[in-house]
Amino acid sequence: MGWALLCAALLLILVPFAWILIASFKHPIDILSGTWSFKPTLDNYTDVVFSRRSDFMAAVRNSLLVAVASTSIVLVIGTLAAYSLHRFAWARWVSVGFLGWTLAFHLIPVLTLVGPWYLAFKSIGLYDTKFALVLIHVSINLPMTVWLMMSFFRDIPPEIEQAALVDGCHPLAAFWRVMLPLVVPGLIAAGVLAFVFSWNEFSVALNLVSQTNATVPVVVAKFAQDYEIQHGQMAAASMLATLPALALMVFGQRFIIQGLTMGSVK
Amino acid sequence: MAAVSISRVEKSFGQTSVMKGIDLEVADGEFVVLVGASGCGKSTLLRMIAGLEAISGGEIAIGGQRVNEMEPRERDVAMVFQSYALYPHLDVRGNLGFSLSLRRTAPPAIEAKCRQTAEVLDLSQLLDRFPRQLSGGQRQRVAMGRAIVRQPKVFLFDEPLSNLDAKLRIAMRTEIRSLHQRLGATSIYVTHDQVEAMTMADRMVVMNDGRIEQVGAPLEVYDRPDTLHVARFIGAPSINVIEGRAAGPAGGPVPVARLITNSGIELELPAWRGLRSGRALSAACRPEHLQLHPGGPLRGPVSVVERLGHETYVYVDTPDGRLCALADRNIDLRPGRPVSLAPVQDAMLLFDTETGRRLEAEINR
Amino acid sequence: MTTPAARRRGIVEALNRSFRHWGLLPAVVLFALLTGYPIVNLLRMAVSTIEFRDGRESWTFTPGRNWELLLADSALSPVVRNTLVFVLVAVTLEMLIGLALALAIGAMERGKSLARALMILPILVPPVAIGSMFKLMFNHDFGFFNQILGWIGIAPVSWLGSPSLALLSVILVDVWHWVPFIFLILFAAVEGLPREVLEAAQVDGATRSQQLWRVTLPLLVPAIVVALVFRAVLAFKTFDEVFLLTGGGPGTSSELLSLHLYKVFFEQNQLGYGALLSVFTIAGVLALLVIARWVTRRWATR
Repeated sequence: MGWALLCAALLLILVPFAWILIASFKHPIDILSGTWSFKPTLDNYTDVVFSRRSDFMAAVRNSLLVAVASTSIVLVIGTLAAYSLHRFAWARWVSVGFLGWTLAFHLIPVLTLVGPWYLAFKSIGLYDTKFALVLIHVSINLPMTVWLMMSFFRDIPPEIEQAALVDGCHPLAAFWRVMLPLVVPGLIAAGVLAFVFSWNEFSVALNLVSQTNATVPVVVAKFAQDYEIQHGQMAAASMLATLPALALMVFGQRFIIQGLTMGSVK
Repeated sequence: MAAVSISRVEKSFGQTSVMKGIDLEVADGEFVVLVGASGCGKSTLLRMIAGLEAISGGEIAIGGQRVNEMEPRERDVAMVFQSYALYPHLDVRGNLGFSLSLRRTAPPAIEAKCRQTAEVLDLSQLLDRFPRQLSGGQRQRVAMGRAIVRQPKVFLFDEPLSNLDAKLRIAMRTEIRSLHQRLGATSIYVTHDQVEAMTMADRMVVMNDGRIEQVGAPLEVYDRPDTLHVARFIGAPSINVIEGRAAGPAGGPVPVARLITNSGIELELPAWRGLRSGRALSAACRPEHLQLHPGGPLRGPVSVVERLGHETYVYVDTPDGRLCALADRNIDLRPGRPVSLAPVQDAMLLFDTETGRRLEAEINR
Repeated sequence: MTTPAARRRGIVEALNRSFRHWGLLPAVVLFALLTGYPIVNLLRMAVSTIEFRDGRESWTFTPGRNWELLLADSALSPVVRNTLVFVLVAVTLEMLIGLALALAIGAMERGKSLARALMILPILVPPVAIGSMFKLMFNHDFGFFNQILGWIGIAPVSWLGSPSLALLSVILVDVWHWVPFIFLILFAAVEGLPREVLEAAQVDGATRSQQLWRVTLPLLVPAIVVALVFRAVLAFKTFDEVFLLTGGGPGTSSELLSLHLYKVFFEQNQLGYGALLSVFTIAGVLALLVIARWVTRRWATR
């Protein structure tokens, strides 16, 4: 019974990818006719990657920059905040307030804030910059990073930290030399998730950056938006956008699963 | 109530065989304890009886009926788990009555039975509490109550006292024992604690490495262990073992077999005859049979003195190892003081070092 | 006179003493600036009209106007209705399927890690790509679904083009997207169930069905509730797929809340009205959260 359901589920998950993959190698005529025997072509891919309209490669560069930057920043300040909350006794209103607010923010539709962000960044001249996007991505990923790192810190037996302090460590040294190395899996999990969610982020990127700073999701959307929808290119663009996810699935799945399940069962 | 019959039972995990040739008959109403070190297979055997592990070979019968193919719920056995395994989402009443409600017993009947069992186990005040609100000892009693309510053919206990502190363990031991006397239920009890085994069993089954080493009443196993392993495992402090070789009878009026220990000390073995000279032997002697005796053959400085209140044990470092002797309660001995020990002849046990099996004394005394 | 070494030590001491503060500070400051401040701004915006003249913004205090726009917004009630239907149906389906998968795969002996590995794929793929993929698959003329229907002799269906089916299509895509997430959470919970308690139930005489309904499921309730509340509230955020798939159409038949916000802000350029809607949305989500916590508290202590 389990196997049957598993196979069905796996099929359901993989079939869309398979179908799109095939479509991405078809000429437009073949796509429209829905034939299964066709001569494969790489035109769709070359169009997408080298098209002057969309500048896919620039988008990849932008996405990469924004994702790497926002992930690094969120890991640093998120881990520090998580450790501070975990290790030091704070007044209830501080810890509950901060964590509660991060939870609330995580649940609010991002689009409610895109308006004020738009105005705010425009007024300080940072509209349409990667910097603004990085900052916003940091805030979007901060809640999850903080909770995740807190739960990893909580998993470390308190005796280890106490032993470090007894052995003569300052709090800073204890953090840097004992706690941090012990939560490396957590850092990886949080880092991978933050990277993925930054890379995938669409609603803010759509509205806060223009052509030159567009990220990959924005470019993918373009292919689906035009009047003359280029189905082949759409398929190819979708496939290309999925590549990072596939790579991470192969290499990082253990951490991702850990991160997703821990972060949710707060 | 029913008898349990285990014949030629085997167990393998994949290709690895972990148990072979297990035969055991548990009589109706008997309290049998499976005892042994971790990994000896006792829990596996218990779980095979319960149906939680598949039986790879042989047959297990409960009440004369073969149960190999039966699901746990069809076997009518009750089990008390090491972690108690209480249902966290049910209160004590719910836990006690769970099996009855599964069989769709009428609620009033369930309630009556729960109250009755709670009385017996002193749980009446706790019926509305949840497991997380109970202490270790209380949870243990609820686990037992859950088993008692069912009035099963056989009770199975999987190290139920391991998670309790020492004092509570001793108290619960006697409770379980008196419950057994009251209910007269066939019980199979697994533990790694030989004291529990000694004090609770009608018969003990000493297991080692997937095999049964010996079956017998506690004192029988204590006094006449079949193998060196059993001798070492049962009894605290551990039995003293001295390794050596048999030597031909010394010249003299009465030819008496001797043991030359590995450090060259001679021990007389008057109770044995016809030992082949040079045979590797292990002589074993319980602490209460090793006495401080000026002129005794085993000599060395006192290492540690343990005063338990009612008894005092003296540990002596001899060339043949550290030996433990039961001494007079008030004896005044300091570490480092040289003493000599002599074994009580009648009480010495001899084992063949290679096979580990005990050699019977030739003279019956 | 302090040596460089002593000064360094002094700095380290100071850092150590204030670690607890400056550890938390960056996060708090950043978060306050980027989320707190905008929310305050939202309130200001909600009572103003904001126009752009010569590339500069001008604010006029018009408390009533945005209200009028709200009342006059004919798209609002279908949007709210769509969103509620969407959340209800999609989340229910996701929970049911996810739970079934978690239980079924949890009972398997091998293949669990394979299942887990493949399940994370839909979570990692950019939602935009998901929308894009399914837009192709739902295509009326050559799409995968109509191909399948064609094989069993049913005429092609206009998945994205007919008002009655557009929302359903969006729901289907959302289910595809999020079932794995629910599965992962519930699967972790299933794996975490105390094995001996389930064995005790077996020994106590429970049939498979009784084990499921009287032991397994009751023990899973906390995880189910968490997953349910979490997913339900997150469902209100859905934007990317809808944007790609239907853009809200045809008409407003598949327009969800987030999409409507987008349209008000960036297609109609009604920043003030959009802010008002945002305020209501945020209040609504927070209210939902408070209610959910209150309900679960009551449940836990009953």
